[in-house]
Amino acid sequence: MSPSRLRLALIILTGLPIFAIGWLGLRLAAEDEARGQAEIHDVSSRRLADWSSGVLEALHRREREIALLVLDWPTQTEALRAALRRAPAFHHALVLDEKGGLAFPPATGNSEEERAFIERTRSLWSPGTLGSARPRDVAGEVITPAHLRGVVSFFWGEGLNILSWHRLPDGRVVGVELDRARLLADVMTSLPSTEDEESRTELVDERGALLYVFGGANLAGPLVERPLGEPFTGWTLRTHLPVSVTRGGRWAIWSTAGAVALVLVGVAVSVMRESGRALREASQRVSFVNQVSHELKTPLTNIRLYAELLEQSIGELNDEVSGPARAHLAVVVHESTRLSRMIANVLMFARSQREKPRLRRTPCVVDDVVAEVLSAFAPSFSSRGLKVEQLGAAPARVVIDADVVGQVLGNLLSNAEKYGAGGGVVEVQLEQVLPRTRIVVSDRGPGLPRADVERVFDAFVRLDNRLSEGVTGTGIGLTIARDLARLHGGEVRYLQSPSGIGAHFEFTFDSPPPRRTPDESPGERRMKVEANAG
Amino acid sequence: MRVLVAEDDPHIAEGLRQVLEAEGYRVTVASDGRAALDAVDAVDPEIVLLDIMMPALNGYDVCRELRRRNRTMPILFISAKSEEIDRVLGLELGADDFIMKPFGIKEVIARIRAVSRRCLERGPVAAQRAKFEMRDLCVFPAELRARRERQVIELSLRDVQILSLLHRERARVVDRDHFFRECWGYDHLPNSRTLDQHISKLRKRIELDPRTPEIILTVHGVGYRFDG
Repeated sequence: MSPSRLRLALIILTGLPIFAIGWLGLRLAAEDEARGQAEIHDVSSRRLADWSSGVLEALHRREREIALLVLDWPTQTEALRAALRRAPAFHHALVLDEKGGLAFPPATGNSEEERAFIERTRSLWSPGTLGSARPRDVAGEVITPAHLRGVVSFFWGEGLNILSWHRLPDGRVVGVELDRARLLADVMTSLPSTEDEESRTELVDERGALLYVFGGANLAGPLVERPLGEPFTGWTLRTHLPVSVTRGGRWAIWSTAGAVALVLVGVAVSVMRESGRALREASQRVSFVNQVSHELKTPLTNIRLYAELLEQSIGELNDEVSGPARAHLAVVVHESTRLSRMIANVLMFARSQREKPRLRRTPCVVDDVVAEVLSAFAPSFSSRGLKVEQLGAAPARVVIDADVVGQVLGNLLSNAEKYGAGGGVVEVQLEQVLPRTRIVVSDRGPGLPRADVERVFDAFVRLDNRLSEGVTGTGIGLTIARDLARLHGGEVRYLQSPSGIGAHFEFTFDSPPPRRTPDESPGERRMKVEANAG
Repeated sequence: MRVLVAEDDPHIAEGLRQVLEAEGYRVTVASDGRAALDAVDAVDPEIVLLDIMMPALNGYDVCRELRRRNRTMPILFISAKSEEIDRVLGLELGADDFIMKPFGIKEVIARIRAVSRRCLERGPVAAQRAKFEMRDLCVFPAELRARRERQVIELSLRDVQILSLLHRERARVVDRDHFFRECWGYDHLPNSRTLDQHISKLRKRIELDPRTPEIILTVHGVGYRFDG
């Protein structure tokens, strides 16, 4: 794996779990917080409900007080006035006669306060309102229905006023107005007054004006509200929840995620360093092999050159003298050629690990390239009893990298030489339909099992069975062949033969005809391989 | 034709000298870049073979210097490294071809002949380019080839020189000294077997039946003759 790919893989492998843990943590934190909020909300709602029933209870106590007061309610105006003066909690009252008409305060001879009272309660004592079985709107507000007693609220002046009414056995209806200041005092005494530092509860009136506050905390979370209900129309108890109730849990999640992230990053860094070290070592090895291979080239050139020169010199002697020597020399020449091919493969492999090799295309004829490669293999083929049968031709002048095409064909022939020796024949089939050329190298050896077909193209794979016995090689020949074929716009494929006999490798490559340039400039590179020389 | 081989490995240089001389070239060897530039001045080669990694001046520098001096002769680079060849091509030094180490004789000959053909085709002497016939064989000196009907026969520079000499002196006997003077050069003193072996090999390629030659006839004790 290349360093950049490894880096990407590590980033993904480290980043994904961190992201997942973070996401999960956030979700858990959010859920936890929502649950906490809901619990607090419930608790707060219950507390508000308790307090509001406490307020209503205070009102009921006051109602019962009024009920006792009106039990022996006088009928005379002055006696009524005197009774009201004795009950300082109630300043004003009204009496309706059996027919619903206002009997008290009297229409005449009343004080200014009584007149104001008559004025503000006029809508309440209009016929059929107080003591009626049906509810009805008074000044736009709902009047609580009841048969014998009840309370009505109405808005006048500074706001809410409450009037408690009772039907007397004689049919009269008495309405007692609760003093507003006393009413507020009743409400406040029924609510907690402790300095609670963890909450803050407010009582607001129908206009939102603050009536009472208890608890000293300054919270800004969601608001929980509870209307006090009738007859406190528009009055609401409200409290703020804390902004976050799960901060501790969130810290725990974040610190866990952070620890996991640190561990993962640490693992990634150590894998990167380890792989970097492995890569450096591999690169040093490749560089060493590269260096050695290059150093081998100069002595190898001398061995090839002088072996061939010697071959020529011996050729000029008569056959009786030169026969055995020529055979010995053929081995030297062939082995040095084979060594050249192996070095070329090793260097090409090392190079392809570093960069994409470049093609050097020149005009030439595929038939000539094939003939040259075949002539190089001729001595060793004949020593192994292998005969080459060439079918078809590729005679067109085309623009190809002759070295690359020769190297691929050489590797395929070398493969046939190693594994197909028992078959006696190696077939080289040529076919050219421009701009493509196809070469199929077939032997009559044991061939490849279907399962191993793709594996043979992997580097350093030597099929570990009878096929490999006694066979030498580096295990990169077919890998290089395929890579080079692909570089040359083609492919090396293994063809399954219908008969199941022998190995068949198909090599295809791009072979466009040369472009005609009549005025080719003299400085332009013009390279071609002339085969069949000498 | 004169060829300069600039190569610091003495064995490779000597091997190349032998291969090229057998082909009919007159070879000068230089063992480093600076010596190569001096040799160009001294012998005015028609083809230069340049190793890339050399002491004093490397092959790139020698090539650049030659082009700077308006020397337009073909230059073939010799290198062990594919990367160096890529660099040669990438630098557009005006290289004509390259030979990768390790190379064999056939490859050297093929590449040197290809370059020679281009030299000869561009050459100033019309006679060098004119084709001539020897019975049913048609010789194309500038192409270093001969043709018989549809068959193409590759020839070395020396083959062409021998055939040209025989053709020019047709119906007359060409003696060994004449052959050596014309085809091997004055300073070359080969033994007499060298000529006979060369003619023998040439006959195998151009005669229909080498045992009863019709183009190159032997004049025993003197030399060879083409009857025209």
